[in-house]
Amino acid sequence: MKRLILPLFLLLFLVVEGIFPELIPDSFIASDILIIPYLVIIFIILISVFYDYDQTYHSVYYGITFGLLTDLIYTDLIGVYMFTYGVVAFAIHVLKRMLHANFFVTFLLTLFGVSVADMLIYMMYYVIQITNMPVAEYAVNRLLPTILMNIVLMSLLYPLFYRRLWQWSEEQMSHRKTV
Amino acid sequence: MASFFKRKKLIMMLISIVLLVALIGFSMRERENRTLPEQFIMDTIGWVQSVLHVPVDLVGNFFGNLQDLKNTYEQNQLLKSRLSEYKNLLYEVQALEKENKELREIIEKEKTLRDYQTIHAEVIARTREAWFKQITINRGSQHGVKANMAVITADGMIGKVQSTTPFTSRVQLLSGFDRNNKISAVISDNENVFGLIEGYDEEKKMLMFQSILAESEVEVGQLVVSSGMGGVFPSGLVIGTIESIESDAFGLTKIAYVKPAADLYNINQVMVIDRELFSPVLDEDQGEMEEEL
Repeated sequence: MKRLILPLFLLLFLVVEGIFPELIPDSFIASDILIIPYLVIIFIILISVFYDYDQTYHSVYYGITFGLLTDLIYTDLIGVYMFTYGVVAFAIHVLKRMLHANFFVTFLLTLFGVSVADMLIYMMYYVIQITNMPVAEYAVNRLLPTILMNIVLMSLLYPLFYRRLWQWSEEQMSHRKTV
Repeated sequence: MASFFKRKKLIMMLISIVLLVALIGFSMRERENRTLPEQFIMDTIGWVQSVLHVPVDLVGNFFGNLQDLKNTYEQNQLLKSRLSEYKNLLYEVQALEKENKELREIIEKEKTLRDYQTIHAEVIARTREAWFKQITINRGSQHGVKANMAVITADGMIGKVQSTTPFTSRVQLLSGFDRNNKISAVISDNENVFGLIEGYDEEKKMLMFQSILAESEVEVGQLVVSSGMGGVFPSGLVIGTIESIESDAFGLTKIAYVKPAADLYNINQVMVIDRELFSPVLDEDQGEMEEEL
């Protein structure tokens, strides 16, 4: 049962991402600003920083799985989110080995992860002609508001989860050392 | 040893990129029926979505109600003044309907392009990726929804069903229509003006009503409705009103910019339209038909 906690939370965030557009005021949507929630990426970053050991790769596996689910549920194309989430999770995993686990580092990693993810997605969608938004417009209307919103979301999730992730990590993976 | 690991990483990277391109290529095709595992996952998550949607709706409705309360008095005044007009209109409509029915019985024509049945549905999610102009509704093929059916709200048309799973379906909004999704349309008070709703202007936030003959009389403010000639949609579904008119690059046809009648951003309850008259696309085995709705 304990093993299911992380996937269940990720599933919850995945679904909330779909409801999210209804929670922001209509005036935002009617203007040209696009805000994309990356709750799943934020949680994967938290998993990577607080749950994973250096030699375990749970965050990457979750990244790939939930990227695929995002593709299936919210877009028509399979592969874009899967690839992006996988790459971002792996990059975060490599980076966090060199850094301490604290709020400031998580802040920086979120900044990095969300912007890389959104830019990768924009690039791929631009290449396959899903969007033809010019780069400058994209940077102002989508990238900046998205990063700001996700930083706020991260600051909300961080205090709720960082201690618990540590605990779960201790409980679930300590036996690894003996096996 | 180190070089071996580097090579392994390189190979992994290459494999994943090949996989990415293959997957995108596979899913780029227009697909009306999704593969079984996809349907299973979408239905399962659709269920979670509809459960989670209940509290969100409650909160949203509460704030909506508060807003309504503020304007109640003015609205009430306005509505009272309109009420008498509508009464007259109602009698007229009833008389006309009766006459219409009698006349139809005389010529023994039962069904017309105008008749349709509706399937009520609730929106359970908008796509998080703003570039896909789609919503997910809680009715699927088990309830009789099929790909390509029209979807409307009380105000007017909002889009068409793009794909279905047994218990959910994906709706493509009008704002996401491209050249592959045409709607054959007419102007409601002058049925001689034909054209196709083809594409959406992102900057103006309006639909493009194209291929109108240059000599036909089009005016700003006229109502555009579906014509039903495309073979899928019934006729008479409200699409929007004309806001501006331009002539095309060659001066042969006109383009009218149509403002959608329905609010495409704030959608909760929708109706899926199943037209009663035989539709070659919906009622036959879904072949590779040119989609002109």
